[in-house]
Amino acid sequence: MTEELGQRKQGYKIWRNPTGPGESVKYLGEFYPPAGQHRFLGCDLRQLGFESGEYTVLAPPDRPYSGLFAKWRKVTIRG
Amino acid sequence: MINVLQATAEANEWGIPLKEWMELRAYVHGNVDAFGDVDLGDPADEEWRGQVAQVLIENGLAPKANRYIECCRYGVRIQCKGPDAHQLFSPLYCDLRYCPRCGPRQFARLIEKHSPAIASVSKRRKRGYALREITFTSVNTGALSSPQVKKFNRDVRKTLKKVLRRYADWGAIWCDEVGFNNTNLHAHVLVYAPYIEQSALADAWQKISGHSVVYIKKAHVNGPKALIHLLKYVSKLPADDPEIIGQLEVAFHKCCRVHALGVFYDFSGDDTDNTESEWTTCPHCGAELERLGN
Repeated sequence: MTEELGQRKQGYKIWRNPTGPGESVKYLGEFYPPAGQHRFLGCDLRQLGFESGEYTVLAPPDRPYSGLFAKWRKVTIRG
Repeated sequence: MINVLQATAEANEWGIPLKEWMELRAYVHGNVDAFGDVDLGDPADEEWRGQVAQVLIENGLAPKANRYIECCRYGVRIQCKGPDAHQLFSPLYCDLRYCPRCGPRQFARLIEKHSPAIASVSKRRKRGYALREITFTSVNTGALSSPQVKKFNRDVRKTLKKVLRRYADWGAIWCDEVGFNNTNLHAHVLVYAPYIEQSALADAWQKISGHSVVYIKKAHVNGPKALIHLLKYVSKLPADDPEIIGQLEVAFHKCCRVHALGVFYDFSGDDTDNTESEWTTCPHCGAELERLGN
């Protein structure tokens, strides 16, 4: 994917967390937070069409403020 | 047990190295019991700290924001250079004033720093001298800035020096405070001095600062308790709104919150004022310490 100013940066990988003891994480793909935002919030995931539940987000290594925003982050969409 | 073949296949499929597959596993299931269901995360705390950090970033204090958000999330292994090579572990604290975790640590440090001064005057009380409590207040402008805090502290210092200029061996410790969820800046002072007329104090405060409200009374508890009473708000958050906490942290950037003056100043000379918050010597044998690799 490209943007006006060249190559688009890497996306954020998102997994749905298991809801029970027997389940494992489910990989959902690579996504981008809204413009100007450096991390995903629950409302952003809801806008992407995700259901309520808990998700794990892996931020790309070239994210802005990499020392400030954690690499791994749990995001919850409340029901 | 981890099925390595399955893990490798999943990592390839998701486009991440096996190391990150392990991190994901630990992050989702908890760090200690990596393969069970323990969860050490605290999303509410993380969210709250993130909001405070956002205010700090917007005010050009990104390094402080980083410290605030990462308080106690990492630690260091330490080993002493003594014959027993004691192994130690220390979390990395942010040591910021308005951190709910570090506030009580600051309180403990300040009590240790100022207790000898109070104990000294409590033991050998000069005739006519006593511990008194003064409250200097300022007009609430609805905002707080670093120059405002600095001027306030200069005014408190000038006022105390003016009203006590004729006396020797007086001492004062004061702590800047704000009202809960507001910007009402005031200072609580514990002063060891002879009787001071309320009117003389109010007059000096008015002339020097332009503010008119000041109270003085004899300390209602003994020395150590009076110090705890003075400093107790250092251990408490003055707001439950992360936006206000961020603004206070910005306003007090490079401003001391607790000050000592007169004979009390002499007792606080050895304190590093928190520039060194880690152990400098081994708590078991006093030997020098060195950090170990992670």
